[in-house]
Amino acid sequence: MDSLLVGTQLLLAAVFALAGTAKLFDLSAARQAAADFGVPRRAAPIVGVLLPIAELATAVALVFQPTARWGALAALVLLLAFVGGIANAMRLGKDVDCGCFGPVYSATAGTGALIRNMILAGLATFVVVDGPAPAIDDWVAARSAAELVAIGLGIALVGLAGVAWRLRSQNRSLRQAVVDAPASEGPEIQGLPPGSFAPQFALPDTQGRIQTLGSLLGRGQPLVLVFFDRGCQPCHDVSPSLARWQRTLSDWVTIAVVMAVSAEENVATENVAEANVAEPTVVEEDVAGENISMWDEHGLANVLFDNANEVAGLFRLRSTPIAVILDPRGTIASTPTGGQHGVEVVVRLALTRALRGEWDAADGTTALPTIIQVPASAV
Amino acid sequence: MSSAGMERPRALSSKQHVAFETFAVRVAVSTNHADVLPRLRDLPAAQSRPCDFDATDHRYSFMTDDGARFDVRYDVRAGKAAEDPYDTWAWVAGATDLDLAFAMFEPHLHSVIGMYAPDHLFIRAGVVAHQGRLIMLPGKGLTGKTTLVAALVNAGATYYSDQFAVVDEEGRVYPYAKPLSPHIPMGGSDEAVNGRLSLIGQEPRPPAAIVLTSYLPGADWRPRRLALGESVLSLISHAAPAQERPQDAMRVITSMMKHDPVVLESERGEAEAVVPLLLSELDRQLARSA
Repeated sequence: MDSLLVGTQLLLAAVFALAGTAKLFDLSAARQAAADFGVPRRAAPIVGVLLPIAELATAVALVFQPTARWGALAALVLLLAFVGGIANAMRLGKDVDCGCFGPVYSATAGTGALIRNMILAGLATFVVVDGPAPAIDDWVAARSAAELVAIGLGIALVGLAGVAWRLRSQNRSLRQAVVDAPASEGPEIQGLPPGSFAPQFALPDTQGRIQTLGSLLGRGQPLVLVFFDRGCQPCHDVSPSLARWQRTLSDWVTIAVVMAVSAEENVATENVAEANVAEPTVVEEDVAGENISMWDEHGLANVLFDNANEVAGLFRLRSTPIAVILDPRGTIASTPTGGQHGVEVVVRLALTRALRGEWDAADGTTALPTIIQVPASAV
Repeated sequence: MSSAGMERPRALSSKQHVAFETFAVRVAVSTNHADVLPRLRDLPAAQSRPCDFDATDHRYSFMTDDGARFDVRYDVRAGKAAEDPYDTWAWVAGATDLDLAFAMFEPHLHSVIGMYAPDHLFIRAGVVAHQGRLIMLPGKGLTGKTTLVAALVNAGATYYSDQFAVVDEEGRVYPYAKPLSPHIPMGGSDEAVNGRLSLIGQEPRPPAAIVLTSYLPGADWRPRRLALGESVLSLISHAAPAQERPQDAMRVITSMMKHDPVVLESERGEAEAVVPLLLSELDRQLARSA
């Protein structure tokens, strides 16, 4: 009987010590839980602070023999209060977070919490009625070494079983979440649908000249637009090949690079007025050093500056590098494909289609819509 | 041919698949669209022998909901049974039209076969045999391999491959042929062209010559013979699984070089103009080597 009482007292003390300490680390949640359980709004902040202090005091009282029964009585009162609060919340159908162990463990106040608190209340009653247990040092002194080891192992075993049970529950719920998760929706769909007209644009190139969609399509060839960002390493990696393809495939395919630049890099250009278009985007001056190293190093041609990704936005493209084919009439002829490998695939596909003669009927004049969609900053 | 994006859906009533084995790699492709399966016939890998679907190690899914946008995915677990619910399929192409989906799928398939073929090394190269001598033409993408192969076939060579030289442990090169694109200018009547293309090399041969060349408009043909070390380094850079299987790549390339091929390097101009120069240079070099 003495051992049972000692064990019960220590168990209750551990539970209340954990609950009180955890709540002290998250007092706002403790106040909220008090309010949720029906404590008047004005009293809830005080109760939220006093409750963990009371729990800690109860834990301490349960450990020492002279105060153990008082501690058990306090525990019983607190537990009955919890039971009442939970039962009341359940009766009202309120979905209340019990906040039982603060950030360590919390769950919706329901049947499980109710039963747990009733069991603990039963244990507290046992100590009140049959306690207190002998002082712990006396109790330890009365045990043999083998008994103490066995008790220690038993406690450890029970603890491990509890952890294992909890991990099993978590694993089960995670697997269920995977099963219940909606099927993968795949990569984010980018780009305008094939068959639609490409948006018009007018952008300055590295020489400050204005290049329009119409001028790029002027040779009656398909156009591959490759969208770059200077900070993107795959864009740098694909540049040598891209520059080579611009030279070797120029009889069949026009390849242009649309280079994103930020709004801060926007500098007005004197060529804009001559081009008879609204101010388009940017002419590089302050960033020229870095950019020049990228296109001059590899001999990239047809490099256009896209201020703040506005043209990329019109094409509904959000990643780089990414490439899309336009037929000689300015119609979107492929879905866009990104990545270093994807750019090669798109260029190859444009070349294959051009060599097949798919676009031979096109006369080089475009059937572009009359609405000119220059970037917002240009209007 | 119209753009796939504007085709009407041709959904199959149920998912169908093809399964084939090539160079000891077993691959299956499943689809729910009728236009996919016929196009697989053009892939060199698919020309290998059929095999049982359940025995395949590498599986592709080629699916569409609307007949316009296709998703291509690859089972990265290489054949292990899908017993748990975790998604183990990698995206090859997402929501692309059929042409682009195939354009993404095809190199992925070749890289998988090249990666997992246990006894062969895949080197990015065109391959022909001319007068009994096998000529390898290593090169990166879009450097004119296919055009040069077609020009050599037009000059009487036997077609082996326009994409990969598949080399065994003894340094012999195997055919890996797909129909050359009809856009490649071949000259002559259609019957004559088809006749030449249908003569695909069957016999594995060691390379007599390796020509590292790429097209540059207006470039002169100025071949330079490479030393052994330069040759090996160049070939390594074109070996598909060189990073993943460097020892295998090195061993096979070393075996290949034991056959003492002539290795030349030069930029080149138009293929038709270069072919006679290339062949005469090879005659000269091989005669000197002999």
